[in-house]
Amino acid sequence: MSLSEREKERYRRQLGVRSWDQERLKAASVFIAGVGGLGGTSALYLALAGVGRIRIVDRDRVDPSNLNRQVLYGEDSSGCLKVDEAGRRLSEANPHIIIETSSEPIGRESLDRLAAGVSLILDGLDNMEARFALNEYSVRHRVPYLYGAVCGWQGMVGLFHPPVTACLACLLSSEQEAKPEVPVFGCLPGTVGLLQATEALKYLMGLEPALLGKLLIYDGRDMTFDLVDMAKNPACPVCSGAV
Amino acid sequence: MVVFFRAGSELRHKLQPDVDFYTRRVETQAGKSVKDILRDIGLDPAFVAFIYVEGKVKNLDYVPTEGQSVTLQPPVSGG
Amino acid sequence: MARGFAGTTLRVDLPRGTIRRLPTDEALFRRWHGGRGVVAKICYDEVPRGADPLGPENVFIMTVSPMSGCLIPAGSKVEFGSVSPLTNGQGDSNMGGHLGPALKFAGYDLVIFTGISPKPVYLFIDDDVVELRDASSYWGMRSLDCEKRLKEDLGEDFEIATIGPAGENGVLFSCITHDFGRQAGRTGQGAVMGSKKLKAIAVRGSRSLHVHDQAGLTAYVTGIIKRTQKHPNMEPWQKYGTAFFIRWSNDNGVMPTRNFQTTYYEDADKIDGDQLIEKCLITHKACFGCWMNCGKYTKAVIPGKPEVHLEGPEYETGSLCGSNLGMKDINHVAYINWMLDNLGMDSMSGGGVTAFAMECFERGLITEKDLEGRSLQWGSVDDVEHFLDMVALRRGIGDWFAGGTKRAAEKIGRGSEKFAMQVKGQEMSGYDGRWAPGMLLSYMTADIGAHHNRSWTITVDMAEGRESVDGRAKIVVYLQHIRPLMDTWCICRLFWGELDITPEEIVESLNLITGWGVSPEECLRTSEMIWNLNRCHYLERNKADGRTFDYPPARSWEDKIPTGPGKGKGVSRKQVEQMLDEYYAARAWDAKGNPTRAVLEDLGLKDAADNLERIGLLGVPIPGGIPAVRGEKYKPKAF
Repeated sequence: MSLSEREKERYRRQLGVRSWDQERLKAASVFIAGVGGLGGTSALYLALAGVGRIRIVDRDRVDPSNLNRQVLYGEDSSGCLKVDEAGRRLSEANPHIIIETSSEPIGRESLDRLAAGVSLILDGLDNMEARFALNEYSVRHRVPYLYGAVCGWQGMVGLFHPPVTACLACLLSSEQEAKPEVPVFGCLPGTVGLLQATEALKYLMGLEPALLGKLLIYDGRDMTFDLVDMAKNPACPVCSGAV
Repeated sequence: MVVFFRAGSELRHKLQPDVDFYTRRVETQAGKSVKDILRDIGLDPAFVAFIYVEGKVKNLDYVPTEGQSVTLQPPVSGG
Repeated sequence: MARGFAGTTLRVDLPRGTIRRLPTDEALFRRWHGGRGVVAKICYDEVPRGADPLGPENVFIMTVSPMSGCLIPAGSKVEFGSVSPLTNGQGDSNMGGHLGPALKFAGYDLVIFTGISPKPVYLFIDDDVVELRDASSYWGMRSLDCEKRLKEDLGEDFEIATIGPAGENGVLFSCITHDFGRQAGRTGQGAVMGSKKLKAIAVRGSRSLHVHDQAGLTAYVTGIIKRTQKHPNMEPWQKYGTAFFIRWSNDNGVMPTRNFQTTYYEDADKIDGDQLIEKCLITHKACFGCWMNCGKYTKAVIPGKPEVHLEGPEYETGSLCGSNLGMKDINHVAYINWMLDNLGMDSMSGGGVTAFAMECFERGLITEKDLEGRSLQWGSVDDVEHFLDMVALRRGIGDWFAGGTKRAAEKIGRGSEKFAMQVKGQEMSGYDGRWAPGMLLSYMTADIGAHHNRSWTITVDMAEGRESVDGRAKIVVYLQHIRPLMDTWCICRLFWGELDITPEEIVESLNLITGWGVSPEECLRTSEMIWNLNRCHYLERNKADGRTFDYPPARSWEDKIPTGPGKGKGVSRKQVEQMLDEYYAARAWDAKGNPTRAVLEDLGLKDAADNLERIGLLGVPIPGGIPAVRGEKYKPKAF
């Protein structure tokens, strides 16, 4: 995918980053599930970097309690569909890329349509049920799933790529009780969303991802990062049978 | 047998560290799983999503060995 | 990821003993199609140009295709590749049997080995379990014996590939053996495995594979099965396998006889297909997904020697170790085949090297003194047994021959290079090219030396005229582009060659499996990419104009055929030069045989063009530009 002169000027400072492949980014497509704290951050930075096609899906409308952390919205966004507001802001941030939007709820049936044709799925969700739906889609279609999650001072990122790696269900049980409203302040989803975006850009440019089958666990209180390996569960109800 | 439990900041208050800021020293019998040891020290295993030991993720059925440091990770599901 | 793929690629770091699991790079396979294409690309990208093929910087690749293991005819092949120690260019060899599909069922599309293991190891794969295991108790074992032992130790249902002592000792034409008689024979892949201290590969897989359109694929392939089962070639193929060609080759005066001295063998009836079936056959044998069962599992019974069992001899071994060595008994040919399989040497190069040594002995260039007091006479199975032992263990003068005929001739000198029947260091296949100029050109221009499988042109020579060369080069180019369809998708070319499966049918099956929408034209283009990339790789490694390496051995153009149906026939030097000129023009290479920037960039290989330019070997631009399509489509005529 060739770049215009305007694009070359826009991306000039990153073209010199070692191993950078702007054309490859332009040809890439990602699906971001949720454009709240996590998804809004990763979408913004992937847009700035020049990922050619970003598909954002979120069924929610902007609520005042989102505004402490969801960087794509302001006071005047209240009540609007998140994907409409986010779509507009992302297109303003980078008019050279394609933004696709949908406010359909994410579930097992809708994902086959919503995520078709993308090379990478990014997690911007706030509940486990939708995450497990994403995971099932990832296993079934062998599309890599860049998981991210936050709570309070902690967050984590990992790249699930079945059948090479474990899947989310190897790590977490779907029966685990989730908090209805997780305490969160902007820096955490901001940090985790940026970590996701960094890993996503590497993957999309064909550079070896660092988080393949691993979790990066960030603790903002202690300022520590732990990088741990996840093993496949040979009895996993989701990924152990399929190839 | 002695094992050490570490907890991320979201779980620390329940762990009651006594060695340093993050770590609690626990006396237990060899052969017990993390799940059982947590119950023994009054920490409900439901507050732990998974653990990791020596850089590898495990589930709560993992049986630690003498002197191992086990990090407890609470559920993290927000976005 | 597209369907058909298993999804995981393994990178085996032999010095550290670690194995990394990575997602299979679908874009790599989409562009280079799998098998031979993926091998060419990885070798080009990852092996430094000055690297010793038997040193730590060479890679060793085992790969299949998204079709492998799915319900397609003859989808049995596994492809091995590396930089060849025999030819010093990209080398690859594929083999049938069951290993390729097993790799897919275990969950893997591609395995890349790097470096050299400090100790002998074998790769163990059992679905998700992938390990390098200690092979010190297997090191030193002969190939067939080692496979038997590994099956006893691990389980009968493991698919095993091994090298023999020859590979361990770095005999440059060492092979890899599997299923008690299938080989990846050419280009010395066994030597590369041996240099890495990799003794064997053992695979068991129990998963299934998903395809894009299962109902469609089943219906489509069922139609192909029913049609091919009624093909007139089915009966002779099932009965004889390729040994059928011994009689044909001899009657048509292309039979390699006593080191290609002539092309008609007076004792062909003692070593032909009928002899094989009558005297040696135990049972027919088929590879995965094949109902043609061309494999012949046989016994060699020679008084005074233990009875041995083997698969073969098929045509190439039957001729190169039969008429080419003056053998007068099919049991002797089978025994030599078995020796080569068990020692782990390519039976084609093994026959060629032995024949060369026999002629050297005949001429007094080597003597009994060199051969530990033994002779090396035409037709003597005992002499051959002793000689092959010397070569496999690189004992005495065996060390000279362990490098192939080219290097042996360099050591022996005294004009022996005239009858070292090789090109680019690899020994000639079992057809003499003096009365089959297209076949000769195929030997001259194949990227891996004098091997027939890159473009088996003999039937074209029969149909178009055996003494004219006009227009032959364009057909060779076309055939060179057809063959990779089979080698990249890892299916057996005999189904295309003998049972008339078309490229369209191969591609339709592929699309039903992957959902990709590939066309036959795209496949031909990928073939051309592979040819050009390998040519560039060869020039970069060997640092001279391509034409330098494209000439046949002197015997092929200086000596006329002395006896038989081809008596007096021969290809002249003028015809050789004409064929090369036409070949380069057909490929849009310059007159020195170097690829031009125009053709390389048209194929998306700009980096290769830049690399050639940097070393001064980029082809001179062709006045008037290059043809839009290289390799005219050829419809085979009856002959």
